[in-house]
Amino acid sequence: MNIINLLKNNCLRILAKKEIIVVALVIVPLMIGVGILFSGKMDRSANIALVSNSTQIVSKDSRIKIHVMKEKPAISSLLLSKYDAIVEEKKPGIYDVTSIKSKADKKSIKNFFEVGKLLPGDQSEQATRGAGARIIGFILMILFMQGVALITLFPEDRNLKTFRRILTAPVSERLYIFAQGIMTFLFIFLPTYIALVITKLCFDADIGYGLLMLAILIGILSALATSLALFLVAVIKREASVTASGIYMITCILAGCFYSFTGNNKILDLLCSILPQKQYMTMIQGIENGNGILQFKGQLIYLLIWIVALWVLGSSVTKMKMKKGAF
Amino acid sequence: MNFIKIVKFDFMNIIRNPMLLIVNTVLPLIMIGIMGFVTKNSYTAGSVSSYDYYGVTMMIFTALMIAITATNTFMEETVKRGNSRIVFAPVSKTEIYLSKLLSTYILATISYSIILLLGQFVFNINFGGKNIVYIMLLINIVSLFGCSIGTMFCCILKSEEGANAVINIPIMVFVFFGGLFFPVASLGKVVERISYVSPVKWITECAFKVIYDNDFSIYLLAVIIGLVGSIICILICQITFKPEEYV
Repeated sequence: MNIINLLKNNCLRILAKKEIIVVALVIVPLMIGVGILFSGKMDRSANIALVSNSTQIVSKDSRIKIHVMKEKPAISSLLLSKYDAIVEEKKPGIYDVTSIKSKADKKSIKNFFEVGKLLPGDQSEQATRGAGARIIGFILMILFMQGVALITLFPEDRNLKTFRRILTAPVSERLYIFAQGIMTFLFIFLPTYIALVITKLCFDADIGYGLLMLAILIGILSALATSLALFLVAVIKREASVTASGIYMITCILAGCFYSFTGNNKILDLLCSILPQKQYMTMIQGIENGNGILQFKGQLIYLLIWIVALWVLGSSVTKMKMKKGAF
Repeated sequence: MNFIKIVKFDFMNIIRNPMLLIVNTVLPLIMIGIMGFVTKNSYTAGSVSSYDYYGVTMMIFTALMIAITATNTFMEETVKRGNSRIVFAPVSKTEIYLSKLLSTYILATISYSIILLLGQFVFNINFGGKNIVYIMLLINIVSLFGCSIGTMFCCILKSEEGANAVINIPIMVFVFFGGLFFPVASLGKVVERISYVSPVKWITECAFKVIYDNDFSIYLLAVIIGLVGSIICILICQITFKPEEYV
């Protein structure tokens, strides 16, 4: 019975925190929706600035857009990605390519102008990553941060000494944390899932997964975000949100949530593969490419271990601190 | 005199908080290192390395994120109590919030200038060579803007957690349209046009122009945009900050 009281109480209190509720229920879903619609519109063709005296040059390939100009544009336009490369016509048929991107891209563009054909494209993991994995990779960090923002009642209870009073009632610290966890999970999971379903069904956006699979994947992610938040808040006394932002940003980049990469460095690759986000990305990428979720038993178990371990750790740290009289 | 005393006290408070110190000194370097490393293979064709690119964008990003340090200086649970005592003292309300803003801004100025110098002369990141002073000033303006945003949200929302929860959203929007993590130009004409509303976009564009083309054509404009943004935030602080609500 106590758990229902706790949940009810938590729910009423968090609803009173207007800014957190507005962010969780309105802004985050909106950002996710807009993000998906934008990423669907992403123009993947390359813009080339061609410095030439001839006026009419039409690209024979839809992947290449040519902008003919008389004067060489500034180098900063490459950094700002206005152009992917600047091509100068030295003599008819001979071109000089300036680019800051990869050597392969540069070679391919040179080949395109001199021979008329692009070289076979980028086969890296980033290029083969599907729309769904890309989208979830981007919202992963937002959800993690939401976890820390939504668990706010826990540190608040500790600071205001309400925690001590709650525990004098017949409520164990495990039950209390369970109630906090459930609520945080629901407030992360529901808005995100609803936002994804609406963008998928109403705007016909390509998310790459079925509705059920999406529920499972977002569910795992929300559970992980909740456990992480519980653990961090239990361990860190002050500035949990600042610390969490830093940790999440660094680990998400290293796990390849935004850009997939291989460092060609065994030790670093090993370190990265310890991160739960990395295993999660591997799994969702595989599922999007047509594999069943059960083919990723290893990753699933690994993520489950993280979720349970962080939860148990957070709970026992709280218990330990409580026994020492920290709250 | 009172004002300088409060600023000094607030500054010492930030310095004594290890987390805030790490976030504003070591973290920017780590971010540049990681982003540079992750995207290393995408920047091999020219003279611009991934560290050069992300050195500039991550510094702008950190300078914006100073907003979170500002909210902390203003409304952290332990600082708040001290603040409510100042409220009773013969100190004008402007001095209260300006002192928080200024102390954070001083920290940002010192720390980011050192990071830029270290980046250029120790780690060989291109921050403009002899033009580095202009880049320093530009980053400085962004950090002033960041401090103002942080202070403004504290004045509006009256709590640190509230401000931190909300503050991420405008910053993320600025960062997205500023093209700090990935360029916006690839998202099509409409998005590119919208992106000019973001002050960060102007700052980024200006920084790259100064560094790579020695082109100062939009420098003054970028500085003015940053300053006007800060002034607007401070004006909103003046209107919304009601010290009596803290007691």
